[in-house]
Amino acid sequence: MLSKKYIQSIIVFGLTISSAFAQSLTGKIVEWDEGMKMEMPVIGANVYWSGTTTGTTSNEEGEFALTAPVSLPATMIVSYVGYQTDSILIKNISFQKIRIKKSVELKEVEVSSRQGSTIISTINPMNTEHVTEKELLKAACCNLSESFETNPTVNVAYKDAVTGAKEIQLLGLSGIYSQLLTENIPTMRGIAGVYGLTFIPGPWMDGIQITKGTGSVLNGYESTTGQINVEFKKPDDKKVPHFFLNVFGEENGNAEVNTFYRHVLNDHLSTMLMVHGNYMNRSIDRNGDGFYDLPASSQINLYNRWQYHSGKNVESQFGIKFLSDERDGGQIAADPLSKLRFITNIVNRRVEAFGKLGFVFPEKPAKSFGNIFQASYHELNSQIGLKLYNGIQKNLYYEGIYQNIIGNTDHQYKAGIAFLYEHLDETYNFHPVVNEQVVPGMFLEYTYSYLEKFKLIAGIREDYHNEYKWVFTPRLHGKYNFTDDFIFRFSAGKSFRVPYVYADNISMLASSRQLVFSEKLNPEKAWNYGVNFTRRWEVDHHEGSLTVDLYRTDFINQVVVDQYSDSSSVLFYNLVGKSYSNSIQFTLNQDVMENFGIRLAYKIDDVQINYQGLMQQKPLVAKNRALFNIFGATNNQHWKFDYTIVWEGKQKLTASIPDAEFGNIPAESPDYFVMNFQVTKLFKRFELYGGMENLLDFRQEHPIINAQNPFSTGFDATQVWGPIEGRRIYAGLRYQIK
Amino acid sequence: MRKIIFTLVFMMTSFFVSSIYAQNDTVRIKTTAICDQCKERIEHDLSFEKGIKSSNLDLDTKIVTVVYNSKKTDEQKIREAITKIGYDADSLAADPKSYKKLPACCKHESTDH
Repeated sequence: MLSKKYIQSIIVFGLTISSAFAQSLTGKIVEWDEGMKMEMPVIGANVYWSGTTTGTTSNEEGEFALTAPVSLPATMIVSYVGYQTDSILIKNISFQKIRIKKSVELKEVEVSSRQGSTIISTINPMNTEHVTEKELLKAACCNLSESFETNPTVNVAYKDAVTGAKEIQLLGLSGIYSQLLTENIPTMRGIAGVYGLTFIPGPWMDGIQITKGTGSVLNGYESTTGQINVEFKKPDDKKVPHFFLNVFGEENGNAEVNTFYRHVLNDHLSTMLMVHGNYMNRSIDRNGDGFYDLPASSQINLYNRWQYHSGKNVESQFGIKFLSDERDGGQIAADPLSKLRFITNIVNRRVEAFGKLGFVFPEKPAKSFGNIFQASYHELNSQIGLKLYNGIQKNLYYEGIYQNIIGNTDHQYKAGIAFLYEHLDETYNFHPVVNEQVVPGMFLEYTYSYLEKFKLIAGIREDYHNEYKWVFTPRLHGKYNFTDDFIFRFSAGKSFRVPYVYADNISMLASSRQLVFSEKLNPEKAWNYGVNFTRRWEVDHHEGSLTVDLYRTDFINQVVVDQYSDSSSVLFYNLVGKSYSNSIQFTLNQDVMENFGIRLAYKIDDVQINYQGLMQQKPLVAKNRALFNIFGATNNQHWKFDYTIVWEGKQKLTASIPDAEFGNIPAESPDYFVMNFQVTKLFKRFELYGGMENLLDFRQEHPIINAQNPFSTGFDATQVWGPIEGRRIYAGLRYQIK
Repeated sequence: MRKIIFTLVFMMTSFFVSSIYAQNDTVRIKTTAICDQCKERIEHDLSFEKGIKSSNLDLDTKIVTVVYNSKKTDEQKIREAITKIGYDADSLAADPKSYKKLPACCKHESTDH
């Protein structure tokens, strides 16, 4: 090493001497050392004129002297192994100080299997958690509604005790305030959203991105609390097996089959066919209230997708989905006297087609133009006791996005137009309602980056709604890296949402309460702001992180669903006064040993709404929630296990008519624990998994109030605060051909 | 419930304890691996061979470093196992039937990496 330095010094000296007779360009190559917080010389960097093969190398001071070129201006290249090659346009002979940057290090192919099951980025200014397939496999995960069991950010709960409809909660607010997307296309809108979470099978998913806050303007104006984007497995992804089969069964009689087949036709075209089917026959009434604990259900779900790469400029995708789902629940036997039986029957039929057409410019990687098309037809027919609700919804969606940079990659922008057509024909107890939304819109999003330290995304969106005229939704996201391991993120944004009273609140039909609309309901508007702190560390090669999220949502207008004010009605009215949600979440992730890790999270959701003059916590939202998860595997990955314990705090209840058998309903539910456990054994050609959900067999004893008299006033199946189903024992097999 | 937890803790302890008493040796074998899928395939299938503790294939050198229990297996058996997966192992040629089953990027003629 010493002699090399010596030789270099001689070379530089020699060049310096020779340069006395011929003009030469001198300079210094440096890099910014993050650890030492100072500029350090880069020794041995290659410096040469573009198009030539001779040049020089920088000495131990980082200095170099390069013979002047034949003519100026000329391009000088600085290259060094492990660093980004720099090219500088030299216009005149003057001292050049050049700062070079390390290349983004490519992770080794040998991806450590122990960590990274939920990835929190240090680059993305948006507060996005990336839930990988590995995380999804930790729970039984039959469909999207069960994919959040180890995730503290999103809660999933049954909306009522009879229909089987599930709802997510994000930042304390219902799922209707977050946007569900599949591959960045808004989906499950309107009536499709009622059961939408159960229409996306687990094995089809490649990953889920959960973004807190209003999100990007590209996806529309609706998301208030967040965006959940589902990525499906892709036909041209070599990591996806060519054939996959999953067979799953549960003690309660639920059986499920998932299979897909992937085929690459040639360098340009590839396709995939995914099939899902599940069947459950009803037979359980553990709480003895005369109602089936879970509705019997059957679903068939098909998805065929194609991907085309022209090899040069065109990237395109298209696909078609078909779904048919039926649920039957309610009372097991008719009342001997009245001969009436409370039944619930819900049928969903859906056809969806989508296409993406993108134009890329290989010489200009920052420039692209994309088009998204989507069309869907959805039919929902539901009977809940004596109440009938039917809807037919037709959707058409188009989005065109052009993206490019201004000068350099520090300034990027995305500009585009969108068009939404939504036609919903609803009938509630034979009373028809027609809703039509025609919304063209345009948006502009600008991203500013300063090295890796600071990034800002500012977006504005203007839509013209056929009924509500101009809708302006601005969004701002940013991040600041105090260090590589300590990141601060902030977001602020406005949202706009047109409510569908029946579809948004279909579970209100599972009670004898009258639905009362005293006025025309206005669109829901809200502001959401939040900050996130992420601190990462590494102890003995074991990674860990702590994130703190603080979010506030303030409604300017909201459709208040009031079950407090009148015990025999559900009142729907426009917000008068305040409605807000303050959400604080702490999440700790720590890899413990080579193949073990833990997650600990605690969340506070303070959701207060002005109900006719009285500020109350929103019903059925736990103010406190905690989650603990431990996962591990043997060294050869042949055995994997997962254990999760969730603590759900007290929730406010609104039933005020007492139950004929059990008396007065308390104002608050008790807090409780739920435990889940799963073990997976890897064999040479297949995988076996099995586990238990709700290990402690904790159940809400009386989920249905006045179940003995479902047609009387006082019947209420909406006060579901805990699990209705007790312990679930399941097992399954996964087989794949790579 | 308590019984389940105790059984699991016992099982996990046994796994760790038994691994301490093995006689570990290492062998480096040259293979005809080409792409990521070859690496995954070789490492995955080898992990099910008796006596093999772990394996790591370097795609640049195509050499797989195998840690094994010399009381349960030996270098020759490991080479044979690799040929059964469909790859050459040092001077030992791949089993033709297994070679046919390999994905496209793992076959010699393919330029797909």
